[in-house]
This record gives sequence, C-alpha cells and structure tokens, in this order.
Amino acid sequence: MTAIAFILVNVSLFIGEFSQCGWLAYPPLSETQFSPGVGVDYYIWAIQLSGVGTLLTGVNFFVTIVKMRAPGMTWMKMPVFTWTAFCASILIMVSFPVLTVAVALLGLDRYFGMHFFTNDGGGNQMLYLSLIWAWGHPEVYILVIPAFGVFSEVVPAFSGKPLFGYGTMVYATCSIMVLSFIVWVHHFFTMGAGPDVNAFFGIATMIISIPTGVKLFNWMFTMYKGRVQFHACMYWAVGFMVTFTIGGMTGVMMAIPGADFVLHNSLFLIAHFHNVIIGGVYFGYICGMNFWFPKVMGFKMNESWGIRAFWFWFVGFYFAFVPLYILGFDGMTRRMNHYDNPQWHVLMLIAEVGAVLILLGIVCQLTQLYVTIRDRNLPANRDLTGDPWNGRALEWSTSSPPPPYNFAIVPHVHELDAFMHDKENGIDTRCAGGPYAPIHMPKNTAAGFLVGAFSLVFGFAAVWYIWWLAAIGLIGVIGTVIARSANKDIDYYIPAEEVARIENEHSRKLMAQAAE
Amino acid sequence: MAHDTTVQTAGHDEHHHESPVVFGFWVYLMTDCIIFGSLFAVFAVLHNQVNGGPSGRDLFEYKGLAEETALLLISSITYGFGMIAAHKNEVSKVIMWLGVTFLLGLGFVGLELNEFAHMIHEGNGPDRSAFLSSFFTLVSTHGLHVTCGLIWIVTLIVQLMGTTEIPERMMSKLTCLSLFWHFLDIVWICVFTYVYLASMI
Repeated sequence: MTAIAFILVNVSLFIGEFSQCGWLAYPPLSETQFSPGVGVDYYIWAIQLSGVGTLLTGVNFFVTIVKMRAPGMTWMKMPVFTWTAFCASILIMVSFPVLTVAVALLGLDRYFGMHFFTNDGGGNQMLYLSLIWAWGHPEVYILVIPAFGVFSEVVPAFSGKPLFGYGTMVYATCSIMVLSFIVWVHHFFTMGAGPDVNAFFGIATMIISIPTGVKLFNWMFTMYKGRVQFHACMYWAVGFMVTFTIGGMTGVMMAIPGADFVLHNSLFLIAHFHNVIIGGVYFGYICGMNFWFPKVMGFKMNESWGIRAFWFWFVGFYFAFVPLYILGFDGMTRRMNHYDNPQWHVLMLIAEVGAVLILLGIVCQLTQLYVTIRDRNLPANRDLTGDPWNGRALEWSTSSPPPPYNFAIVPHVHELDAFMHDKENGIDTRCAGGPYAPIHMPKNTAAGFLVGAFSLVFGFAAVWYIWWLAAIGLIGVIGTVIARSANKDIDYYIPAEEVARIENEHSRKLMAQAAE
Repeated sequence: MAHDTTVQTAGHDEHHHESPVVFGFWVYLMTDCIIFGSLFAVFAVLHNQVNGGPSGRDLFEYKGLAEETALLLISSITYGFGMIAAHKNEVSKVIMWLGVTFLLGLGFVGLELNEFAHMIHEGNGPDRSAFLSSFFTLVSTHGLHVTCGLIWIVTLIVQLMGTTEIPERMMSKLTCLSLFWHFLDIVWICVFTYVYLASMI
C-alpha cells in the first residue's frame, strides 16, 4: 500500500498536479475554494491508501509480538529492538485511525461540499489541526522509536557489553509512547488555545526529554569501560548521540510557549526538526542497515565508504543547520522564496556549503552500496557464520541469509540476550543435528499485490472523478479479499529431510570457519 | 491478509499455539473504535454549528429510530444463535441464522437510507451545515460498516453451503464476524444515545 501511494504521488507529476498546501494540507487553503485542482485529491488518496498499509502492519507486528514469541521469551527478555517495534506498533494503531478521519473529513469537504473545515457553514479549522497533530506528534515517535531500538542493539554489540539499564530502557520507551499522545498542541501554541492549555502541553512536552535523557545515558554507560570497536555502525551511533541531544534540547526550548511565540514558523523550527529527524531517524536507519545487512544478504557492507559517508553527513549536517538556528533567532521565517536582508546572506551561504557536503555524503553512500555489491564474493566480505559481530540476540544464531523457516528448532530462551547467554554457557542454540520435524509454512500469495493494484486504480479514478473506474477498483479489492478467504490452499510443509539438509550444510560451514 | 504463523513446528504436542487470527481481528476492531471515537469527537465539536438550519431536535423522529435500533439489536441475538449452532457443528442452522441476521441488517440499512433520503429531499443534506456534515458522516460510517458486514455474511453463507462440518479456519472467520457484528451494535448504542437521544432532549 505504501508502494502504490508512492506511485500515485509520482503519477501526479505527469498527470495533473500535486498538493501545494505544505506537509499537512491545512484548511482552508486545502479546501476546494482555494485549491480547486486535483493536487489535494492526490494527496488525500495517497495518504489514505498508505495509511491502510501502515495500520495493518502495526496490527500485524503487535499481534506477532504478543502471541508468537519463542518459549521462555518473557516480556522482559525481549530484545530492545522488539520492544521499540512493539511500542511503535501501538502508536500506529492508536494514531493512524485519527489521520484517516482527519483526511477523510477534508475529502468529504472537497467531494461532497460538506462543512467540517470550511470558512462558511459552521466549519472549524482548529478541529483539523487538532486531529492531524493528534496523529502527527505520535507519528514522529513512530519514526524515531525503532531507531532507538537499533542503537540499543548496535551499541552493546560493538561495546562487548550487555546494554546498560535494560529495564529503564524499556520503561523509557513506554513512557515516551504514552507521553507522545498528550503533547500535540505544541505544534500550534500561537493559534490561541490560551495560557492554561499551552502551559499543560508545554510541560508535557518538556517531560518527554526525561525518558529520552535516560536512554542517552544508558547508551553512554553501555560504552563506558566497554571494549568499543569503531565499526561504521558505531560512527552513526555516536554521531546520533551527539546530534540528537542538541536537537532534543532545542525542542525543549520551543516547548516553552513564550519562546515558541518567537520561534514559531522560523528557521529555528526547521533546524530543530531536521536535527532530530536526520540526527535521530536517518542516522538510526543507516546504522541499522550497516548492522543487519549481512544477516539479510549474506555479505557485509563496505566499511571505509560507510565511514566516509558518515563524516560527510555529520560535518555537512552542522554546516547546514547551525546557521539555520541562528537565522531563526534573527527572524527569518520558513518557506521564503527570496529575502532582502544582507545580514542573512553569509549564513545562508554557509548552510549551502553544508548542503553540498551532505550531497557528497549521499554520493559516498551510493558508492558504498556499489562497492559492497561489487565485492560481495571476496572471502573477507562473506558472512559464513551468520554471526559477524559477535551478536547478542537470537537472529545471529541463524545462517545469513536465514533459511525460509528462520529457526529449524524454535530456541528456548533462558536469559536476556539469549544468544550471547548460550554462547557463554556452551549451549547450542540451534540444536544442531536435530531431530527435525516438518515445518508448517504459509504459501506465497498474490492477494496483497492485487489489492494494491486495484487500490491504485481506485485512488487514481477517485482523484479524477472517474466513478465507473473507481467502482471497478473497489470491486477488485473486495473480490480479491473474498477470493483469498475462499482459498483453502494457503500453507505447506517443509519436510524434515529438507530441514536437516539445510541445517547440516550450515553446520559444515560453521565448522570450516572454526577450523580456520 | 491472514498472516499465518511463520514458525510453527508441526506435530509439537506440548506447544499447540492458538490461532492469533481472532486476537488480531479484535485488535484491528479497537483501531476501528478509534475511528468512531474521532468521529464522535468531531460531532461533539460541531453539533451546535447549525448555520441557521435545523438542529437535531427539528430533524430526528422517534419512530424510525426505534425500528432501526430494534432491528440491529435483534440481529445481534440471531447472530448469537448462529454461533451456538456453529459450536454444535450444525451447518444448516448456522446458515439459517446467518440468513436471518442478514435480513435484519438489510432492514436496518434500508431504514437508514430512507431516513437519509428524506432529510436530503427536504434540503437538509450533509452540505447544509457543519452539524449535518458531522451527523451524516458519523451515522453513515456506521451504516457503511453494517453494509460491509452484510457482504461478509453473504460470503460466509456461500462458503458454508454444501459443507457438512465447520473446520477450524471457518470457525475463526465466524468468530471474527461475530466480534464485528456485536461491535457495530455497541457503536450503534453510542450513536443512538449521544447523537439522537441527547439531541432530542
């Protein structure tokens, strides 16, 4: 569904136009009166369709984590990354329906002339702001919480120590999850909610910095007295700790309603959210990609290009965004198409240098991918053991890439960092040698692809008011779901002999590695 | 979209996992509940914005409302009878009760559409005022859910026809639909009290 929303946005570049109402399509600008074209309609359907996909993913992860953990894997033995995926799923399940409603009501205004957010007819634009930010603020935590999980896996692995303060890390994640729902008004302090309301939301916002600070100290104490290896992943992780802390502190500054009246809609805000999203989310997922790449592909990413990419990004980031903080204090607002103040010019040029450095960082990353794939067969780059970093969690006990069934025998979990515990105590997590049983597997299905394709038809037709085509798309979606429900042939078994063959081959590779 | 268990060792007697499908559907319904919650909040904000037009007190009628409510509540009971029959593996009775539930649900949707047509005909459509926009959206979102439920009932009736017993997967489908149908009943009780009764007082 995300892919088709992406396609729909790209189609709008060639057929018609896309929304020109900013990230969140605030009414009344996004109403038919002021945006009569199809741009906002593309926006609406792209958001709705990808929203469905996100919501179902959230439900899927949540149920998987609640119901399908390995035996012995109690809640407080789960890896922190699983915890963060769990909290992000809850955030998705609670906040995305609100986005669906907000955007649907905007659509009803546009398609049926209703009066939810219009200037006339009794509409209320503040209602849209509340609804969209009641989704929008949890959404930024949906972005960053799994990145926190990535760092919580990477830092212990490369420090050769267990994570410091596992329990507090879990509680901090859960606190952030809950608090993220009671801060949304800080996105529009200046719109006149009044001092009492603003004070509540300001204080709630500042409180979030406490569990976030707990996390940062936990990562630092994990490194403290550890045997830290500066792998490319660790560059991103340490760069994150420095950068994200600055972004967090500027966020607390803007959480003060009085200060926000000065900083609102200025470049200070722009610098702040790039600071947390680049420094937190982007660094986090690049770090995670470097970390789990060998698990997925069977070969490691090139490290020197990864480190070069990091330095360009890291230095470029500060060149690009520190001037923006200063310009925000100097009164420069966002979204200006030109400016006449010569005092701003030098800082803007410095920011431009930063943008070029970041571009070089991106070039390094593309080079890294190219070099990685080119050199994938070099012996030093192959991951034959499935455990290239001396990992702590169970995914490192399988081969890289893992077999289709993941675990031939579902491991029994005794301790936190289950795989490390097994390695230290000489327990064979894989139970190599069997006895193996046939493994029940779901069959591949085209249903998801067909639902996506028909949704794309539906979305495109709805944008252009081609109702017969929209009907075909909708019937296609419903028909696919019904056909899938009637399909009895949805699973199969991998026979025990096949499992034994795959596992024994992996054991042979492991022994060959150990002998070297 | 039913994701089966990724890793489940077959023939493991000591760890027979219960299918997560019903739990997953229940969780999904809770997200649906948030959609309704948001729509109720919107209605709460906008219900006085009549824009010089009629308010709920002027528009709503007891009679049609009582009929709609009765049909939907009785349909929940008949679905319950269907589930009892399903647990006893009596396929023909399940089909019969599903059929009765379908007719009651259809009656509900028919009455609702009739009410809507009447209001729109008198010039009080959803584009009249913010109050009517939020009223039509909330009530017809519920109606649309009931319509989806009707399609679902027909699908299951067709899948049950010609079979003599109810396998586990069918049972979990019936249970999911049961959750869905009762959930819509609860939402209707909220619509009934908060949208209709509260406006008429």
